Amino acid sequence: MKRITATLSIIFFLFCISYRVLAQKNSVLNGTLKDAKTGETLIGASVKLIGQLQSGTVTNAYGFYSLSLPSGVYQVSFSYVGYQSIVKEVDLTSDMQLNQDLSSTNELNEVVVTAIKKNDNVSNPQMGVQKLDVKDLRNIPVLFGERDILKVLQLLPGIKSAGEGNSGFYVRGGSTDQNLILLDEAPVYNASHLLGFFSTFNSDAIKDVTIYKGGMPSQYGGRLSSVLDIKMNDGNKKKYTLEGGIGLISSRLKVEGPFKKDKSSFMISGRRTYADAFLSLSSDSSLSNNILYFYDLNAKANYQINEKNTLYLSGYFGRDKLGLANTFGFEWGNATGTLRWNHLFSNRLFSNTSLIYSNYNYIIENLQKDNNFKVNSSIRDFNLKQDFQYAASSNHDLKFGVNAIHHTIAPGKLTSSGISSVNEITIQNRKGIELAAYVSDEWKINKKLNFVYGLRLSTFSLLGPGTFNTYNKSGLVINSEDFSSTETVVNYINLEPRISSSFQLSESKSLKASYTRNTQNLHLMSNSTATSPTDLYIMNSNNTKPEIADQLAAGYFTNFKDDAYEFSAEVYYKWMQNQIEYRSGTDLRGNRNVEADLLYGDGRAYGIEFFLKKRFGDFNGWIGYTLSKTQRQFDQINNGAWFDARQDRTHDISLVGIYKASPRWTFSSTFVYSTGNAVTYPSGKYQINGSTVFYYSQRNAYRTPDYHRLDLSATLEGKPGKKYQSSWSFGVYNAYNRKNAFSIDFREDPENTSRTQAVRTTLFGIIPSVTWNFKF
Amino acid sequence: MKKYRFIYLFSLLTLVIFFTSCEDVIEIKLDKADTKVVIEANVTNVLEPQIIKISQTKPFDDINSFLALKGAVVRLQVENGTTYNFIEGSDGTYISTPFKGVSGTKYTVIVTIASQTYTAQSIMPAVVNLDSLTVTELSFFGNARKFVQVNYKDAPNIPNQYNYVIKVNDKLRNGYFVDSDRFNDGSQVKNTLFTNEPDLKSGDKVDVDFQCIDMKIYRYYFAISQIAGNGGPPTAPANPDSNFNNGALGYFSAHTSQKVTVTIP
Repeated sequence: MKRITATLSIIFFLFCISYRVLAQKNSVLNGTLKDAKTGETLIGASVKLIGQLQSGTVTNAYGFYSLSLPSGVYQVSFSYVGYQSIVKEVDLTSDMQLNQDLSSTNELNEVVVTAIKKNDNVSNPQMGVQKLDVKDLRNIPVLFGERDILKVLQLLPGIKSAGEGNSGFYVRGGSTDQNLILLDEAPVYNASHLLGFFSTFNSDAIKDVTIYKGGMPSQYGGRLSSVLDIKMNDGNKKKYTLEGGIGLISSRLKVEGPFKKDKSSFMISGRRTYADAFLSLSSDSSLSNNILYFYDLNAKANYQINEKNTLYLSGYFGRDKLGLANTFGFEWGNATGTLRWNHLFSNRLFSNTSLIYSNYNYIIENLQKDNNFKVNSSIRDFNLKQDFQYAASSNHDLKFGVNAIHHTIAPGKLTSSGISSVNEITIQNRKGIELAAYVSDEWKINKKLNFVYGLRLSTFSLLGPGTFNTYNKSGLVINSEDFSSTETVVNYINLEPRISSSFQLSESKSLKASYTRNTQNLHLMSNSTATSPTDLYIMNSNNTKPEIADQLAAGYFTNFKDDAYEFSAEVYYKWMQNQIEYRSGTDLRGNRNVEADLLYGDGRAYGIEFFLKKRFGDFNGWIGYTLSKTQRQFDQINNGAWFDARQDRTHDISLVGIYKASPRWTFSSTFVYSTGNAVTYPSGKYQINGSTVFYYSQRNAYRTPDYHRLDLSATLEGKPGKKYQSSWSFGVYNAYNRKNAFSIDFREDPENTSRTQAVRTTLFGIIPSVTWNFKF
Repeated sequence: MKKYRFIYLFSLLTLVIFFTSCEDVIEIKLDKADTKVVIEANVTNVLEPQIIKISQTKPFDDINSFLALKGAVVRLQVENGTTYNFIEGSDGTYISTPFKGVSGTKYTVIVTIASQTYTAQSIMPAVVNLDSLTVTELSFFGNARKFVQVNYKDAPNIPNQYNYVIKVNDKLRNGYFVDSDRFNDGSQVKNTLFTNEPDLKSGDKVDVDFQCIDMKIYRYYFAISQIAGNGGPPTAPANPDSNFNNGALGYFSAHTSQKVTVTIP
C-alpha cells in the first residue's frame, strides 16, 4: 500500500507542475508517415528535430505525429527501421501539415549512410519494450517453416516459451493468460492452433508487433504480465499485389490493393493447413473420414474520408477442427472485429474511437449414439474505446481516454439428442463490465531527463442474473444468493499508477527506471501441465479477486559503433497478488462450482535481462540472456512455503544470427538454452487397490533436464527482374536432434511390473522444412 | 465424459503420427522422503469379513510391492454405536467378523499406530443396481478395440459416484476407474470402460466390481487418475486428499458392491 501511495503522490505532483506549462503559445507541425511504395502507415517511426533541445516524437499506431513547437526554422528528420531517412527543412510560422513517404531500403540492398542517430531505444523513457521487425521474420528458422511471431518473441530476453514448439509464452514470471494479446486492438483469447504448436497470427497480414514486458503505457490494461500489441497491414494503397507461400504444413495467400488510389485500400490474407488432405487419400474409410485442420482469415479495409477523418475496419477469423470418424468432433477458434475512426479535432488533438468485438468458443461433439452430446462454451466481448492524443506543448505529450468492455462467458452448454444418456445442462452465463479511464503525459524536462507518467483507473463489475455462491477456505458453500439482471454482484476498483523515466548519460547512453501496477479481472482456468483449447476463463467474483502486480524495473541502455549495436540490461522485481491454483482432483470441465476448487496466493518474480543486438549490416542478430526467479506461495500448497513456479527458469539464453551471404542467399540460425522446468517428481510410492501410486513431498522441487536446441534456415531469393518475386526457404528444426523432454512421467515398467521407471517424451526430433513464397 | 481423454489422446496421436515424437526411459535420481502410513479401508454392503489394509510408502527405486505395517489397532464405529474391532491377519491386513454395511449409515475408522491415531469417516451411498455388462467395439485410426460397457439406471436428483474395479482373467486390470452422474443424472447410462492396455480379446473373462462411492472417495480416485492423464491433459502432480487425518495417505470408503462377469465374444 505504501508503494502505491508514494507513486500516486509523485504522479499527482508531476501533473501539477506540468499543468502550468500547457498554456504556452506554440505552432503545430503534424502529419502522417507512410511507406512510399505501398502507402502503409508507419507505426513508431521517429520524427526528430536536429540540434534542438526538444528531441522530437514518434508516430502513433496510425502513422500520425504531432509536434508543438515555438515558431522557427527546423531541420526535421524522418526515420524508420529498414527505411531511408529523410531530412526536411521546415520554416514554422503557423500550424503546418507535413506528410512524408519513406522508402524501404530492402529492395535497394545498399548500405544507407545516414547522419541521423537511430537511438530512440536509448532516449525514450519507455522500457521493457521490444519491437519485432516483421521483415526479419522470414529469415528466422521456425518449426515446420511456419513463420510465427509468437515463436520469434520467445527468443527475446524475459520472454520464455511455455513448452516445446508452443506458441504460449511467459513474460517475467507471468503465466500464459497474463499476456494481453491485441490484434488491431481486439483481445485474442486463445492465440494458438493445434494445441499450441502454431500461433493464430499469420505473419503475412501483420505490420507491427510490439511487446511490453514492463512499464506498460497507461492506455493498456487488463492483464498482469505483458501487452502484445499486433497491428495488421492496412493494404497496399498504390497497386494490387498477390503473394503467398506453400509450405509443409500450410499454404498462405494474400491479396491487397487500393479501392481508390491513396485514399482507401483493402487486405485479405488466408492460411490453411492440409495435413487432413493426406488422410483423405487413404482408402481406409476409418482414416479418410478423420478431420484435422485449421485456417485463418485476416481482412482489413480502410477509407480516408478527408484529411481529418479515416475509417478502418478489420477482422480476424480462425478455426481449428479435429474429428475422428463417427466418434467425435472438436473445434475451436477466435473471431474478432474492429471498427475504428481516426479524427483530427485540431492539429494537436488526435482522436481514435474503436468499437471492438471478440469471441472465442469451442464445441465438442460426441457422436456415439448412446452417449451423444455437444458442449458449447464461449467468451464474448463488446468493447468501446475512446483515445485522445494531445500535443500540449513542446515538451508535453498527453494521452487520455476511456474504455468500456462488456464480457459474457458461457462456461458450457451441454446438449444431446435421441437416446443419449447425457442430460441437457447449461451452466449459468456470467456477465461483467470493465470500465477504465486513463491519462498519461510524456514530459521532456530537458535534453537529459524524460518522464512518462500516468494513471489508469480500472473498475470491474460482476453483473447478474444468476446464482452466486460464496465459499469458505475449505471450498464449502457458506452463502448462496440469487441476483436479477439489473443487479450488480460485486464491484472492484483499482488505481494503477504507471511511471517511467529516462536519464540520458550521453548521446548514446541512458539509465531508465519504472514502476507499474497492473490488474487483471479475467482468469484462465487451467490445472494441466499443457494448455488446452478447452481451458476456460472466469471473471472476478465474490470469491476471486482481481490479480494485482506491482513491478519495479531499472535499466541501462546504450548504443555503440554508430548505433550499429544496441545493448541493454534491465533488472526487475514483481509482486503478484491473488494468484490462482487448484485443489487436487479438481475437474474443470463442466464444473459449475469451479471456484470451490480454487486456491488463492501470492507470487514474486525477479531477474536481470541482458540484450545485445547488431542492428545493421550483412551479419546481424542478437544475444539475449535472462537470469531470473519466479515463485508462488499458497497456504494450502507445499505447507505454505514458497515454491518455484512452473514458469521459473533460472537461465535462459537465446542467440539469433542472420547472415546475408549474397544478394540472393540469406542464412540464419537460432540457438536456445534454458534451465529445465520446475516439476514435481515422486519421493516414494505405495499401493492403492493393488496399483502403484506415487507419493510427492515437495511442489516443483525437481527440474526437467536443461533444454537446448539449434535451428537453421536458408532463404534463396528468386532472380531479380522477373514478373514476380519468389523465394525458397529451407529450414532444419532441432538440427542436432536433441531429445528435449516435453514431459517426464513415472509408470510401472511394462516389461517388469514390479518396477517403476521414468519415461521421457520428446516431441520434436530433427525436422526439415521447405516453403516456397511468391509475390506478384 | 471420458471422451475428453480421447480427444486429448487423439490430438496427441495426430502429432505423434505427423511429427516425430518419441519416448525413452531415463534415469532420474529421486530423493527418499520419510515413510508415511497408508491406510486402505473399505466397508461394503456385502455380508463378509470387512478388510482394512495398512502399509507404508517406500522409495521409488524399490520393487512395487505392498509394504505391510504390522501392529496397528483398528476399530470401526457405526453411527448407531456398534463398534467392530479388527483382528490383525497376515501382511498388513486387519479383518472384522462378517457384517454387512448399510446405505445411509456413517462409519468411522480409528487406526492407532505407535500411539498416533488416524481417523476417517464415510457414509455408505444408496445402492444403484448394475443392469448388465455388454461389450462394445470402437475404432481408433482403423484399429477396432473392444471395451466393456456398463448399463445401469442412475438414481435421479442425487449426486452419484461410481467406481469400477476391473479384473481380466482374474488378474487386476484397473484398481479404480471412477465416474459420476454430473452429466447424466437419472439417465439410463451406458458407459464404456476404457480399460488399461493390453486390449481385450475374445474369450477374456472380465469381472467388474461395481461400487457406489461417496464424493470424497470419488475425488480421491479422480485425483490419482488425473495425474496419470486419465481425464485430459495431465495435471501437476500432488498427493490426493485423503479423508484420513494426521497425514495418513490412503482412504476410507464405505461403498456398495456388486460383482458382475462378462466374457468377451
